[in-house]
Amino acid sequence: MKKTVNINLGGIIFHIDEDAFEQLNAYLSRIKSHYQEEEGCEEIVSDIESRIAELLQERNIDIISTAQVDTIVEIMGNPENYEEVEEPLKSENENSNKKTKKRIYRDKDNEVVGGVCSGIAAYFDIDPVIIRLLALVGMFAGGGILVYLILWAIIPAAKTTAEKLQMKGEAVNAENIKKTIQKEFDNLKTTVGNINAEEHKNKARNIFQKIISFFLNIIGYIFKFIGKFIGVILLIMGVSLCFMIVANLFGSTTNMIHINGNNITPLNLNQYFPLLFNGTKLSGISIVGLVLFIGVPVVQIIWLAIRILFSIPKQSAATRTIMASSWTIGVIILFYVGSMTATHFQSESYDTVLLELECNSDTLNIELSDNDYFNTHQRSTSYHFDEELNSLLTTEVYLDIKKSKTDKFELEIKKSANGESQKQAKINASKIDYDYAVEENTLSFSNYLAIAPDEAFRFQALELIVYVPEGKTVYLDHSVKHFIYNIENTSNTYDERMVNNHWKMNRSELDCLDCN
Amino acid sequence: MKIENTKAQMRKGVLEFCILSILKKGEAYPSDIIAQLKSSKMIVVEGTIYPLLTRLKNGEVLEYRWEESKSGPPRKYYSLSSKGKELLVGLDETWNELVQAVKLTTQKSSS
Repeated sequence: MKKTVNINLGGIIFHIDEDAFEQLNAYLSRIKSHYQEEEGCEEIVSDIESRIAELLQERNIDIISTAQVDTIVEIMGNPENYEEVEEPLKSENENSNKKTKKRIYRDKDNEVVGGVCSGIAAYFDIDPVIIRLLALVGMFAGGGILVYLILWAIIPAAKTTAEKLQMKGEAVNAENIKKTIQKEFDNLKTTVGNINAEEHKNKARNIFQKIISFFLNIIGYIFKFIGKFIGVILLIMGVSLCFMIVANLFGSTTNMIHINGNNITPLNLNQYFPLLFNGTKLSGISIVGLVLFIGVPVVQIIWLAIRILFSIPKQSAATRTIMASSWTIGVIILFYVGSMTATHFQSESYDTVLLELECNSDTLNIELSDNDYFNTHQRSTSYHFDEELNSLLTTEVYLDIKKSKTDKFELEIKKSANGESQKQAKINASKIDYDYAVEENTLSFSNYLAIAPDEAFRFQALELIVYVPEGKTVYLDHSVKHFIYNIENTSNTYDERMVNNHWKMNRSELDCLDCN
Repeated sequence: MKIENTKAQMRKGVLEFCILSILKKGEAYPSDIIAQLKSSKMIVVEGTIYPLLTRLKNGEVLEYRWEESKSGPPRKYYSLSSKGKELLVGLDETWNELVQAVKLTTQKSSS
């Protein structure tokens, strides 16, 4: 169903589709605006309207559609195509105006330093010496050198003949203006005085216009320069982001992303995804989500950069819609994956083992064992994926010391983990792989725990509790400094300060034997 | 310089001359003129003719009268004014001179 409109063309009534009407109306106003400066514009338009009416009537159509309007426009032609019969003088003038539209360039043919001054002089059609003097004054007045350097950087040199003509284009213009005035004189038979006044007016306007367009030119160059600069930065950003995504999704180790700021821990999604999604089918879908979520903005950034640098056309509305909806889908997928994954973390449980420590002396030494993965001198919750072990290592290890209920040294290993249920959490905890050793009255424990191969990451952590019988002593080696967690003692010494000292268990708490 | 421009320049003056020549045989309304110019391939799009006719009329080279049409909108019948007739005589001469001159020039340069 379409709405029709009644129109009057050349005194005849036509029925026309609403969109066809819009089209015809647009065509006629195009003609009108093309000839608006011309004497008899109304007449031209109404003559053309009459002809259109005639053509439409010949076709004998009930209701005019857009197809018919297309045919009419084809027959009548667009006003730009009539150009060839413009009055000779006018069209010549227009053409030469277009060709010699002035732009500012550096004049390399007459340069002293960089051709900036001579270029400006050519633009204003004055002697370069004047500009050079002004520039010299400017340099002494301060800031001039900087301005000169900036202009030098942003104004391109006139290299081709066309650019040189554009730079000096003024001469042709002046001649044309003179010609126009001369012609006007012939036609209108005005007085000589009038021409002079006209000429003066024209000149004044031209200088004013020139100054304005000079600055517009300069500003244009500055913006172009800044634009290109931003374009280059965006391109570099986009491309490196691209590399990062590809490297992280499919590649080998890269150290562009850190899971923890302190440690350079390579993040490789191929390794981390199974850890996060083990036993679920979310892994694949989450890659899709990630690619959309990060990829779409990156593609847009690169597109924008290329657009700035090489002026390719804007994206169509359809492309933009596709981009926006892809990104939204990415967000939804990630949200879904996130909430599904969260359920696998909802319960926490423990797996506890209590052992007797063999110790023949009254003093038990506690120290860290050396390892290849983590520095024993510092503590930060770090993760490290070891390719050889094919498991994730983490330093979630804490040491506590309590009073033993028996007269023996005892060690409790409390493994904890999360899971979708208490039961699963307990199973996850029991699968924690942990190393310690007792030798020659020394307990040496590892500062990391390993999440068994093919197990998922579920906040696995480990607490070591050493039970000390009353009257016996422990020595805390310097290496355990960062792993002590809230050990109660009579002097309320901070955990980190407890190392390098002997501590004796009194009735309920530890007592320092050699603190100063 | 574009070849299209040169062609347009050449056509420009000749088109006026053609219109005047058509009207020499008697009055005509735009659609008649268009039909003749189209058949001789002087114009491609019809719109070209209207601004030209208006200019010629404003330049007092042409005059017109209105005539009612049974089948369509009222028509403008154009004819040559006395000034137009004079102009056409002048143009005829110029044209013949030009044709001669071009002939001579092109023959000379091609031989």
